[in-house]
Amino acid sequence: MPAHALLPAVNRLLQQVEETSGLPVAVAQQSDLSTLATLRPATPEHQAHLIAYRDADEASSYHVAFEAALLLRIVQVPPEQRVNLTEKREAKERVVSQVEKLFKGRLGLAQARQAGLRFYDGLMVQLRSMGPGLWADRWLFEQVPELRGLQATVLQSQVQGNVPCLNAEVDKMSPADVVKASRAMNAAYAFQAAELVGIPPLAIPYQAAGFESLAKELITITRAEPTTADPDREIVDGWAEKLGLTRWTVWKTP
Amino acid sequence: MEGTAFSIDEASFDASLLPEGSRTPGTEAFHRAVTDYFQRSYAGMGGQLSVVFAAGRIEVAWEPAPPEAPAMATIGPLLQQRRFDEARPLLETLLQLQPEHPEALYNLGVLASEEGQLEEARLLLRRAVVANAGDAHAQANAQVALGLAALRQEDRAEARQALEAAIELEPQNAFALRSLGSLLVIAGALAAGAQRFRQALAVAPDDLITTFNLAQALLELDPDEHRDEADRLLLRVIEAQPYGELADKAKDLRGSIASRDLRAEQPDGLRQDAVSTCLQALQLFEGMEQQRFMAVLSEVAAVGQGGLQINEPGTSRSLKTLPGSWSDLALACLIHVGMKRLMPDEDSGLGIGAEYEEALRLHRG
Repeated sequence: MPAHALLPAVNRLLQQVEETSGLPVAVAQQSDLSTLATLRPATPEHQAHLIAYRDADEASSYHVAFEAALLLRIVQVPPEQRVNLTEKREAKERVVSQVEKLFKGRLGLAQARQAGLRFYDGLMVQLRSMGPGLWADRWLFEQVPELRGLQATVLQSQVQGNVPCLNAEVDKMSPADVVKASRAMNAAYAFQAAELVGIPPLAIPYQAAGFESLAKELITITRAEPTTADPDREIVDGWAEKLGLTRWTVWKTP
Repeated sequence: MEGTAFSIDEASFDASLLPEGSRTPGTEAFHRAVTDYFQRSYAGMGGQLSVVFAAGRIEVAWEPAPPEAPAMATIGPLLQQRRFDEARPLLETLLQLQPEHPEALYNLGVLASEEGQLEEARLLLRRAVVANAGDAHAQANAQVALGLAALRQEDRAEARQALEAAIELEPQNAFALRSLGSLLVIAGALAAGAQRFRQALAVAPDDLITTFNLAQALLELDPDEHRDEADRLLLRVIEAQPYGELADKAKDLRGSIASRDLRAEQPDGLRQDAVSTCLQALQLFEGMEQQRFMAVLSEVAAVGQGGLQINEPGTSRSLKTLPGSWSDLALACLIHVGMKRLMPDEDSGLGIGAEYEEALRLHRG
């Protein structure tokens, strides 16, 4: 049972996931999570979906709803077609190499490699999650209007939290390809948030930094009618293409 | 929107956003155009904007203006005038700015309760109780409002707890006493409820709702023992407020007292004096033209509203529309017979239906 009471609309959504997947959904609060919420779809070993959220506050209802919306899409992909986004060794090594050059003389090789791996992994997580996440935010905006108040708070907070990544200091400490792609994805998030919340200035920093056009192309991809049974994969592939990351990852069956 | 601050390289700024002739980073025209761009972009948000150019970077900071709280001095009159649609957004704004504002919590809670949003009302009012901790009167009012919201949601436990807490805070709070009395009556604790009503009346003797409630509770508790007191209380309500829902309820209750009185005289059969008086009334009205009939009925009904002592043989009243003197029993029969002539399916509530039927049978026979 969640430690904080979820709003009725969220409970209805969780019920929808259970009915669609035929499996129960467990919701748990875990204070030690590194992110606001996570999702672990059911597997043959774990016959229940798990949504975990970090903070026992009012906003947790939105975080759980967000994960539930993603889960609802995932469970509708036929099991035999489900795939995971995995790394491409060459791409990862390229990022590591860039970081080693960036910090040459300032960091040891092992530390530089560690930093390079973190940059690569971080970008892959962002690529895998942010596009479908934009879809989920918009879907919740349209389908669960009861959550709009909470959503406005959460989206604004996320946008504000991302803005410092635009600062010039970040360029000096990050591989250029990684930082550019990451900012473009943050820009897409900010432009959509500005639209959903109705506060255009939320996107101003990204417009000024020249990301408006790319951000809007990314948003368009998340709103396209799916042509396959795995719409999330379509979004991720579409984003990878726009961001120049096509050769950075590969889909593999679990 | 919360404040924001960021920096971008001048070279990274999207020059297509600027007018031609001002797109070269580092130039004064560029700085002016960039500043204009940000000022335009944040213009709709108010607040304070700072755009600083240093070492090839644009440092932007925007802070929202400190919001002005709508004062309760503005909201109070709106609430008093029951202009709730105007008051509500102001209260909500006030609560956003000061999340534990005692009056905002209390008034929004009361509004929610009135509108039947009882769960929300109780949440707000629980917070209001805490937020009003420094003011016994305000806290007692918050407890009373919480108690009523809980009662509306049939949570008697929280209702009782809140109302008792209110009385503890403010023993002379007549509304709290009355509300607790009502709760106790609903719960079947009639004596305790009546006791609370008496306490409330000691504080606010002119409170007609409490007066009526006490009469009702007393009649339920023991109609024999409390008949006279209840009747006096009901008469006081009718005299003070002859028209309206409360008066109608008081009249109905007095009717039930009269009915009970009638039966008390002859519990197992027909009261022959009532049968005989109803028969006389039937005969009287039979040949009476409609206009005169209405005048008589209006007058006896008006007299009847003040209460009839059906079992007092010595009562004697005179009427403008009919000659002679009339006992209260005779007036009751005139009212009942007259009502039946006007509305055969209605009952006067005076408890002489059976006697009327017998009189009608005799009259036809």
